[in-house]
Amino acid sequence: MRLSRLQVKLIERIAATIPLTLAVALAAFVLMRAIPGDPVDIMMGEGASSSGEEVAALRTQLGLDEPIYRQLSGYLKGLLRGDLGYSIIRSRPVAEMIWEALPATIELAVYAMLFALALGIPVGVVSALKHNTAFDRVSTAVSFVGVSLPAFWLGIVGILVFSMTLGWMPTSGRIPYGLEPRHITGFLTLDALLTGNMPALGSALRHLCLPAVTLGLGVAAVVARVTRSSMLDVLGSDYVLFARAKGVPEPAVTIRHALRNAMIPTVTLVGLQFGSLLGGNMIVETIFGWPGLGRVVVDAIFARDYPVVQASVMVYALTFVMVNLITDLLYTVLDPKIALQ
Amino acid sequence: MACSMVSNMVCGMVHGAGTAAATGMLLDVCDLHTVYPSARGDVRAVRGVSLAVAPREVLGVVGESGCGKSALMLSIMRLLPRPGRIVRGAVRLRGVDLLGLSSGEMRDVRGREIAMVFQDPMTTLNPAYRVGDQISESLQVHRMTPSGASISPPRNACVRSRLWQARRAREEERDYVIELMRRVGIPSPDHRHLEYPHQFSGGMQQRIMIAIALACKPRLLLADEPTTALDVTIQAQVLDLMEDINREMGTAIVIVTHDLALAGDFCDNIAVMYAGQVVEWGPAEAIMEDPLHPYTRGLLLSMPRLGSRQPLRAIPGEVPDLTSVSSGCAFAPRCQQRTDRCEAEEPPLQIASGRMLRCHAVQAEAHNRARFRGCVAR
Amino acid sequence: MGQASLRTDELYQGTLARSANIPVLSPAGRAGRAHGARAGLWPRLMSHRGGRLGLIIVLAYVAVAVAAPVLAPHPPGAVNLAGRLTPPAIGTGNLLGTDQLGRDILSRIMHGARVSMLVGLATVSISAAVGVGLGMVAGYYGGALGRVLARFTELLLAFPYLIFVIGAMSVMGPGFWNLVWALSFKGWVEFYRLSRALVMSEKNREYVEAARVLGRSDSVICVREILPNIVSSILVLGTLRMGNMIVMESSLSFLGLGIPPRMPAWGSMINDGRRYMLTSPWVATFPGLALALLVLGMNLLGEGLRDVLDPKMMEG
Repeated sequence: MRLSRLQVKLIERIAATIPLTLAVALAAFVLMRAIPGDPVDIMMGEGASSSGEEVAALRTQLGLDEPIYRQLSGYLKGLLRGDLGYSIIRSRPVAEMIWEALPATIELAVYAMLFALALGIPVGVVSALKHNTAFDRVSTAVSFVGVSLPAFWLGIVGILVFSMTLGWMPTSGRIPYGLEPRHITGFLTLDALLTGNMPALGSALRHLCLPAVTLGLGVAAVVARVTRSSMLDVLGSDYVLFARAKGVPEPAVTIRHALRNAMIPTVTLVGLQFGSLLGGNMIVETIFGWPGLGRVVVDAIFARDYPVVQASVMVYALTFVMVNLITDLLYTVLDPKIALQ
Repeated sequence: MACSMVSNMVCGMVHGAGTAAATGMLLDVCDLHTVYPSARGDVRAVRGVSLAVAPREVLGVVGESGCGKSALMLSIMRLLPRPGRIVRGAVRLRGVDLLGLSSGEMRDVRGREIAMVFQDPMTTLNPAYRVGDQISESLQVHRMTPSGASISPPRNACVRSRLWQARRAREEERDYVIELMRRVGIPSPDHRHLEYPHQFSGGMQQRIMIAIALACKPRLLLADEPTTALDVTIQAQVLDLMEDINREMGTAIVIVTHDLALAGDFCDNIAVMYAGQVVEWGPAEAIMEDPLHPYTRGLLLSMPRLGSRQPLRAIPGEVPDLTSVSSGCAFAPRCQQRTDRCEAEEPPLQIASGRMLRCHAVQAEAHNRARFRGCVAR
Repeated sequence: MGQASLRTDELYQGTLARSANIPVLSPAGRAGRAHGARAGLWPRLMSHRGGRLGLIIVLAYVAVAVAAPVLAPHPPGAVNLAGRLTPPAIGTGNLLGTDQLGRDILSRIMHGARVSMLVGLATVSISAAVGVGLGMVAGYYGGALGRVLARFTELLLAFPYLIFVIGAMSVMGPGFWNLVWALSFKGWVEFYRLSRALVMSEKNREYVEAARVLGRSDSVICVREILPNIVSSILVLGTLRMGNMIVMESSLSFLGLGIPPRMPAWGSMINDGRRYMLTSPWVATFPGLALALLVLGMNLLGEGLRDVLDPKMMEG
């Protein structure tokens, strides 16, 4: 009964994303066509003496000489087939490039989020339990500063301290060349685990450490703040008092009664933040030489590689929409009031 | 010392001559003081309250908001929100001082010996759990089976039989929960126990809260304004339910209310509280018919009554600030019978005309009356 | 980077909670403006520890930014190839050292503050003007315009902010005003959503009803009755967004997509300094600290304002 309603909700939500997806695809197309500057010029090299014929041939090859509506319909038809086009600069299918880069981006975002939750939730809970003590004050102040530190600067300082000076961490990349585990999922740590390749796992984790912490620190601060304030609300609520009046032991009051309810705002937050981790990590990817989608986009923008930018912007937006959808569903599981509306 | 004397006298007075000893009491609160430290100074929410509740008794604690009723209940449960704390006094349950228990022992008392019901069921039930699970949680935390026995895991039992027992126990528990929900008047409990609090109406939620409180068959139920958040018609139903429970299960009830009429109908005894103190305490009928303390009189006069053409009279003045209570009677600034003595000296809780009373004026009057009567008799 | 989305969300909920509790007959109307909340704002903000600190930091930055041409010891673009990468020292004329072209870092930071704060101010002003305008119309009338805007904002929100701005900047190319427009193009959505929600809850209140009965026109009701009651929430949102916009500007300048290289900007200074991180860490460190402190100040001020204007949110 409850499951079926959940399924209905799921189908509704997924159906609602279809027009949005289409609009996103269109917006990406329009955005890229509006760019001044011609990719063919860039490919030929500025100032290079290339004959008009060569340019025209290349334009035809890339389909850039067709009228815009033909380009659009070709693009949309390709999308339906899962064909994201062909990179102008790299001469490879865009889908392949994205497919290669996406796991790196997602892996980084997941580890950043795990770090943020592992740090933020306990700090938030303890601050709330020890409200107005030294711990609470210090952690509140630190999280305030943490929210305000820009990630790209943090990354640079992290590299200076931990990689260059102390030499604890590698400065860039995901894993040294030749050490990669057999490709199964594209997530290096997962693949290394699945193949039992311990050296690869260790190396991948070491490479993940700094970028994930850089990316996750700001999120950890926000998670701690939200967890603290919702936990404070919940700890002062009647149902926590009632649980105590029932004789429920204090640890169970904290976890089963308080934390369970205090997690609802945190889950929403995690969804929002995960989306922005995915979308905001191009800076961290640039700093750490992380071969993810963010790098692909930034490189493609500078190279005016239309199809790549177009496709990656769309993939970003879709991932964002999917994350929001998942957050919504998770929220439904946590908060029975919403489940049955 | 003085404290136990008072409560002995109290018991003797209120419950008739036979049970003079405090040992017969279920709950016995002695000279209890509670403060909440605040930025403006300590709020003395409870200032020397002495009360007693006999087994099966229904006691009403009546007073305006802010008079310390709720603080008293939470003090009894030792659940005062920090930084509130009990300064001194004693709370005895069947002779055992609860204030001397360890926190673990106190936890065993909560829910099992004394249960509590709160004002607003909407916020008191945990929104994240099914009501059935919330009812059975009480059993689980006290490791009780529905039959009331404590669970002790059987030794040397093979895994299969243990699993079987565990399943049996779960089924038994579910049946008990359903039975309890039926008992408190929830229709079709066999599937509603799987629903969440927000799927019930306010009155039904209050019934569920009562079911949770009753799950471990406590001897005493503290009900803090249990009907205030409900519609008037629902109020009567919930009170009826509590009356049934008191009669059939023998649970003693302390009901906190600001509604003197409700207490008069529902309770055996009434304690009227003012500014953190009990000012008058005695049999409900006596207090409703012949209130002695000026504050109780004021409350009765300010109560609208059907068929009465008398104008309502409000008590002039305001409830005093509990951070700075003066040395005299707390009610003196609002009292029309006050004397110089009232402002200088706090009246003690004394026996007068079959009840306990904290008032110089009335005591003097009673004393005179007694002397006068004595003269006539002679 | 994504952090502000939360803070505004918190704000959003808090404001809704508060607006539900506004006493019906005491809105911040004309009487309120004379001696009510507005008059008390200053002392209350000054007695709020975080708010006071934030205000001091922000005012200090404003002062430095305004007086940069006078205060800065060197012109920000003055190249001195003989004095490249000199470390910070007192008495050399380069308090915070010089960069790879021998330019004085302190002077560049001061002028960078001008750029950053102007971008922040311009972006937030444009976003707020557009967002509040549309939000009030959509909230007051609803209807077709509201539905169209709802779809449009949904689409804008599907793009992560940074991706969106990077895409837009790649269309327009680096430049101060290009950056402001790119940031504002998505920035107004937050203001739109907040003011629409506020207007929708305010428009059914008695004081609006009363104004309608008195025959006031819709535009007068919106501007003179409703706006004063929602302006404080918008002020708080604006302050919090300002810090966010400044980080965004620096991130884009860091990538080379924001402020053009000839203008001093913290983001591009940090990017320049990356290459010399091991040998001359001051080149990237000081602009980063300047940025972090300003953002901290903005956040403190925003939260302080929220606590002061929104007593219900005191705990947070």
